[in-house]
Amino acid sequence: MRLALRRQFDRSLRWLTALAALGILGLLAIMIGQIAYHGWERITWEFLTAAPTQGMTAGGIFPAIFGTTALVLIMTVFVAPFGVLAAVYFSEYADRQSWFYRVARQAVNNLAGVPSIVFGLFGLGFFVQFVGKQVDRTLYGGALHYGQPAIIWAALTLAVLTLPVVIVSVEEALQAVPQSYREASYALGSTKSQVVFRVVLPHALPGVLTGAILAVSRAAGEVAPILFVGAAYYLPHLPTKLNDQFMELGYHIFILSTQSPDVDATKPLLYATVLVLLGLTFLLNALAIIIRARMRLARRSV
Amino acid sequence: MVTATTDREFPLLRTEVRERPAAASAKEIRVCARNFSLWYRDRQALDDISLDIYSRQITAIIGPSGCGKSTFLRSLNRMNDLIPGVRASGEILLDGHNLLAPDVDVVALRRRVGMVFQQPNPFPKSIFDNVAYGLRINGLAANAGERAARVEAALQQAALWDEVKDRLRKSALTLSGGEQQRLCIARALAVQPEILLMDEPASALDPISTAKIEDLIFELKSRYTIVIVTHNMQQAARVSDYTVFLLQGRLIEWGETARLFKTPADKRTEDYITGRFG
Repeated sequence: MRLALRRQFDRSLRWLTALAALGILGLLAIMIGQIAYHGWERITWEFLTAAPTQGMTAGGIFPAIFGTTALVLIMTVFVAPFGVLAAVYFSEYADRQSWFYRVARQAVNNLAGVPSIVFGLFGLGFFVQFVGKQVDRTLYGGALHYGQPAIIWAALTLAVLTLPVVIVSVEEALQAVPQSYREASYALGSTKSQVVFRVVLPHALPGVLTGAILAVSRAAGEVAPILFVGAAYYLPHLPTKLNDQFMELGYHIFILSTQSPDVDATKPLLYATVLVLLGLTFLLNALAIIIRARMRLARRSV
Repeated sequence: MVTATTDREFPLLRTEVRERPAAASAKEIRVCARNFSLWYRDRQALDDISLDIYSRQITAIIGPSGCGKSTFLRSLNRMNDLIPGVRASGEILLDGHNLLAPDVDVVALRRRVGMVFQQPNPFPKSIFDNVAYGLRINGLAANAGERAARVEAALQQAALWDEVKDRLRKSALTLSGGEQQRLCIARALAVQPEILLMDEPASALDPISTAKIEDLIFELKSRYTIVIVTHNMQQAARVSDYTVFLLQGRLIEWGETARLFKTPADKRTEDYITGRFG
C-alpha cells in the first residue's frame, strides 16, 4: 500500500515538474505570439523610418530607435573600458584572500541587485545635478548646458547599471584563459602588463564582446533609470549633441500605453513598437550566444 | 647487491653511463642552493635544501609526487612568485648572486632561466609566432630578417625545423603533442637563456616522442645548463649527469647520477629507485 502510494507520488512529481517547465514555454509563447500577431502588420518601412505624428496615433518610431541606439553606443563607450579594467583587476591582480577583493567583489554583486529606479534617481542627483552643474559652472560660467537631463547622463546612468554585467562576464572570460598560457609567457620574461595585453585579453576577447553585448541588450530594455535623466516624451529633432534629450523605445512604449489621447489608434503602434524592442534585444542576446558558442568550440579544438 | 638490483631494474643505466665522457675535473657551479626552505602559506613545501647545479650538465630532480621537486624547480626562475602566500628563506645563488633577493629583476631572471612545462603549452598562434613571442616581448631581434633567423635557429636546436619549415604560419595547435613540446622548447631557446628548467617535459607524451625529447635534452647539454624534474627514474638515469632525490620536501641525497643509482648512500634513496615506494 505504502509502496503504491510512493510510486504514485513519484509519478505525479514528474508530471508536476514537467508542467512547470511547460508553463514557462507557454508563457513565452503567449507573450511573443500575442505581440507578434498584433504588431506584425504595422511593421513597415515607414514605421521604422518615420517620426510619430498626430499625437502618437500615427507615423513611426524612428526617433526612438535612433535614440536607443545612440544611448547604448555612448553607454558602451563608458562601460566597456571601465568594466574590463575592473574585471582585469579582479581576475589578474587581486589576491582572492584579501579583504579588499571580497568587499569589492561583494559591491559588484550588490550593484547588480539595486532596483533600476534607484539608478535613475542616482543619475539625476549625481550626474545631472552634481556633475552636470559643475561642468556648467567651470566651462560655461554657470549657463545651463549640462546641468539638465541629457543623453550623456542617461548613458552614464545605464553604464553604472550595466557595469556588473560587464564585470562578471569579462571576469569569467579572463578566468577561462588557461593558466598555462600565463605561465608560458611569464617564463619567457614577460612583465605582468605584457601577460595581460598579449596573452590574457586577446584570448578573452570573445568573452569581452559577449559582456558588452549583454550589457547593451540589458540597457536597451531599461526604462526606469532614464526617466529622469534625459528621455523625452516627444522631440521634433534627433539628438545631435551629448547634452540633447532623446526619445527611447522602452520609454516610448510607456508613453504609448499611458499617455495616448486615442487608445484604439495607438494600440497597433504599441504592439509594433514592443515587437521592435523585443526583436532588438533577442537579436543582441542571440549574437552574444553565438559568439560564446564559437568561443567554446574554438577552445575545444585546442 | 644494490648494483645487481640497479642493473635489473634499469637495464639502460650501464650503457648510458658508459657513453658519458669522464667527469671533467673543472666543473663550474652555476646555481647553488643554501638552506633553501619554502612555504605555501602555513604549509612547508621545502625544508633546508642545499645543493649545487653544474654548468652545462644535466641535473635531474627525482622523488615521489608531492615531494617538492616541481616547487624547487619553479624557485629557480621565481615562478612561485605567481602563487599568493608563498614565502622562502635561505639563498639560491646564480653566478654568486642571490636570486631570491627582493631587488632582483624577476623579468630579467626569467629570460636567463627558461622553462618548459609538463603539459605542452603552445599559444594558440602560428608556429612562427610561438617561437617569436619571447623575442617580441623582450624587444630582441627587432627586424623581421633577424627574427626569422633566430626562430629558425631555435627550431633547429629543438630538432623541429625539418618537420615544420613548410608550415610555419600554421597554428601550433595542429602539431602533435610531442611536436608541441619541442616547439615549447624552441620557444624557450629563442630568447637564448643560460639555464633551461624542464618540469616533467615528457610525462604527457608517448614513448617515441619521449625518446626524441630525451635525445634533444642530451643534445642541448653542450650549450645549456639543464635542470629536469622527472618522476621517471629510468629517464633520470638515462639523461642526467647529476641526480637530486627529494622526499617530503627534504633533500635526501644528491650526487653524480651513476653513483647515486649504483650505490645510494641513503636507504630511502635505494628504496625509492628500486621501486619499494613512490
